[in-house]
Amino acid sequence: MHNVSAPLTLPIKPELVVREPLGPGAVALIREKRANPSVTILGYIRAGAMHDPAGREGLALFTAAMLTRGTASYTSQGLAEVLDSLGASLNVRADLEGVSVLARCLAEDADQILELMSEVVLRPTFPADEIEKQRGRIITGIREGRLDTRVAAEKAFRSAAYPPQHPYHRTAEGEEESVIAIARDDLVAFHRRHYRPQGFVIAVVGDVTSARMLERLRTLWDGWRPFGVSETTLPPQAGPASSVQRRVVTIPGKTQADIVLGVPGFARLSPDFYPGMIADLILGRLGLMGRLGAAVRDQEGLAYYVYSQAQAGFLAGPWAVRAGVNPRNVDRAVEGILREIRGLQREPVRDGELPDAQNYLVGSLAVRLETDAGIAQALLEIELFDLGLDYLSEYPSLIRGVTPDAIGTVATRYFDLNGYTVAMAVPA
Amino acid sequence: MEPTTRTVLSNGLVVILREVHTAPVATFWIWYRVGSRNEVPGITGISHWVEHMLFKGTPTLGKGEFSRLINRHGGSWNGFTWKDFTAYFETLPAEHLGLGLRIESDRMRNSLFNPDEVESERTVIISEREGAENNPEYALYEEVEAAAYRVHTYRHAVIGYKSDLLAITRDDLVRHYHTYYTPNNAVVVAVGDFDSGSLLQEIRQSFEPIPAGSPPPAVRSVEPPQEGERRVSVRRPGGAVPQLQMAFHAPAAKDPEFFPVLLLDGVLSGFKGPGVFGGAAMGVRSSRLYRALVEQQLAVDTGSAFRPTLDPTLFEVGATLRPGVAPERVEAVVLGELQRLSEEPVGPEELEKLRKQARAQWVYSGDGVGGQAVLLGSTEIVADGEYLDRFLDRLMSVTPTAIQKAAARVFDDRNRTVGWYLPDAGAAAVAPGRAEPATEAAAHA
Repeated sequence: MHNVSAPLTLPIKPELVVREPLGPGAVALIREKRANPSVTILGYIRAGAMHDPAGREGLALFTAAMLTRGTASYTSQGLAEVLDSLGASLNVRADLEGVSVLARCLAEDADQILELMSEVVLRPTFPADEIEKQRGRIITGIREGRLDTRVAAEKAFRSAAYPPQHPYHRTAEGEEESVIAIARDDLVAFHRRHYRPQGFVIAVVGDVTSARMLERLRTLWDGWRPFGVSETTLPPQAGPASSVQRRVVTIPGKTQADIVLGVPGFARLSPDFYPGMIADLILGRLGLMGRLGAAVRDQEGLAYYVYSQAQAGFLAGPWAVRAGVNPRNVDRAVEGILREIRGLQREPVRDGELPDAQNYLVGSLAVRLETDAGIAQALLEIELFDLGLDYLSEYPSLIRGVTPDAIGTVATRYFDLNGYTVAMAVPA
Repeated sequence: MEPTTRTVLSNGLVVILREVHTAPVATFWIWYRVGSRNEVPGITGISHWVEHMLFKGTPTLGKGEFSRLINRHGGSWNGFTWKDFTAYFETLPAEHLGLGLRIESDRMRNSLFNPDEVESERTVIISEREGAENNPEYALYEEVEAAAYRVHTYRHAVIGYKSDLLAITRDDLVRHYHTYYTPNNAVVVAVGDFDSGSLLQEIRQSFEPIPAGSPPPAVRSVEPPQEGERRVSVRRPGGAVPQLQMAFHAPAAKDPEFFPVLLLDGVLSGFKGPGVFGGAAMGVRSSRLYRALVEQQLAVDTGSAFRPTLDPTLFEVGATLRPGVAPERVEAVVLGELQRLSEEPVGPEELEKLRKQARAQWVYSGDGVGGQAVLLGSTEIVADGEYLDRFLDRLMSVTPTAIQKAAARVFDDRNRTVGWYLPDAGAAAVAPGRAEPATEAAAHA
């Protein structure tokens, strides 16, 4: 068995990154990298859909979509024209937990893009006509999702696997009725309340000079003051159900069935995170989709895709297996998935799976951190979860410390086979 | 971009190497000059199926061991099939790049086609096809391509027709593999943190013992000029709104008119970069199609696509309609935009915007060894080394008049195929919050 033992050349170490506070509770991270005359900027605001008020589900995503649709200094098209004339991109994405703003530009335009990023985050104006354009796009997306087997299975899974008050009970885009109900005042209020410096992180990677970049960031962001006091509401605990939950959605005009089978998982800062991540790799990720791929795809030929994923963020997202199969093979596929989960509980590691998974996680750092975007993403994760800039140096020992017992324990504790949820969208 | 070397080994294998020392990683690719372009009716989808079989092991590396071996060393891997090529890669910490050479030189000749594995992969590939069929947009894409091409093999999709996937035999697969998987029909590309001289030596040791094969059969079909508009439609439930896809015959990568047409694509929906798959979306919101359709609330999404290919290809334009908007209205607006391009030259500001987007995409394509390897390998197959060397120069020298002339030729109505997806069962007219096309039933196991 080969063991990855070469010393790691890590692009993130305390001496390589400038980390400075930026106003009340915000942090800037800058990593100079002169390989390519371009710059990547990644900002994160904790203003995700978990903050949607009841009856206004979809508000966080709607708000995020409006950031680039008109600001104090630019109309929606005016901003697009400036960005497009620079050959730059500035994209806003929101999920249940947060909003990320990702920009990329040539090094010569970095100052201008930085200014545009602060403009869209701090000074959106929510013009009425732009609101209607976005509403139309969001509603069409929701309608398309209702007829999409993967989306429909996911929504059915979430609503059965999580209690109604939990953010993961639903998906972030909301429902048609709740998006129709969102008024301009709701968008303005959500922005004032949840776009705040506390917890804001901005990472800059690329062909920049740290000192100068820091000065620019301070000029742009230092005056940001929160509106009101911050509130932290803890979602209810989610765990296995008291019995197996099965949901079936039928959709006309389809050929394939999509299945989601899983349980509420663990959060990023849970002590179960490392053994859970390795259990997940062994179950449905390593090689060609782990044990699930070997059994359900390769041996039985049932599915083109069958994989597992544990979504560990601030909250305990789902730990689920997803697969697409011919409708007549749904029961066989579910049986196969359950058999592999049971196998993981009985025999957490076999045939060198543990060193394979550990070597993969440690060795792949270099590949994951090769691009500017990869470094920016890692800086963001390190900051959001307070892991420290020397985290990557500690990472190998954290991974190598995971034992087969810990993997078996996590697999058994979370994947309660008397309380999992299986949801599927099948052809009508 | 860093200096790049191109060497042809004694058995005809082309080797392209680019040293990039910014991170301790490297990527190894092998590109075969075979894809759905090389298929005829009865065996459509066979190139893609062979690609799947190349993960089923050789006498020395068992099934599943390639991927395990790469993962174990911190690497990532995959394979994919397109019209003009099939490609495989391993991206690794640089010190383990030798694994890529070992795997690819082994499976170029020694892949097993175990009959049981052929059968289990048949259903996997049919499942891949059925997953695509769930999407009405995909069904429309197949119809439009099949209508736009009457003769050329680009007319069928890479995944293949289901009847062919049910009928293809192990012998067909093995024959296809032996015909096209030869060193003289392949291109090796490596990009990353290595010494080119030593790596070339290792590549010679791994690949030169493999003898050259007979030259694979040429693709003989030539698409005749289209002499009038063709129209197709797909009507079925399963989609929420109508979708438009239009296709126009357009030049191949080596055609002198390729670069003006590439700029036409940029004007319509943002410039997408030099590669076969394009770069990240950029310049979309100020582009002509977006302003005419999305800003005017006729569509929720729109775009165009034109990529470098070996043989003449299609310039495609698409739109996803807003609920309640009449399809003919959207079609008229799209045709109006295309007409305008053939009647008026693109203005200096718009052209300058596209040139800046092109320069930016060029720079971004240098971030990451994988993206660079895709550019080098795919353009070697569909064009030649000159394509990348002169890409920016050629693009920057295109004049507004050349763009206008190209628009007049490509967007001629006789050269057009129009496809519509129209949702059945009145799904397009679902009133907000009322009709529920999807029904939910709950049962406890």
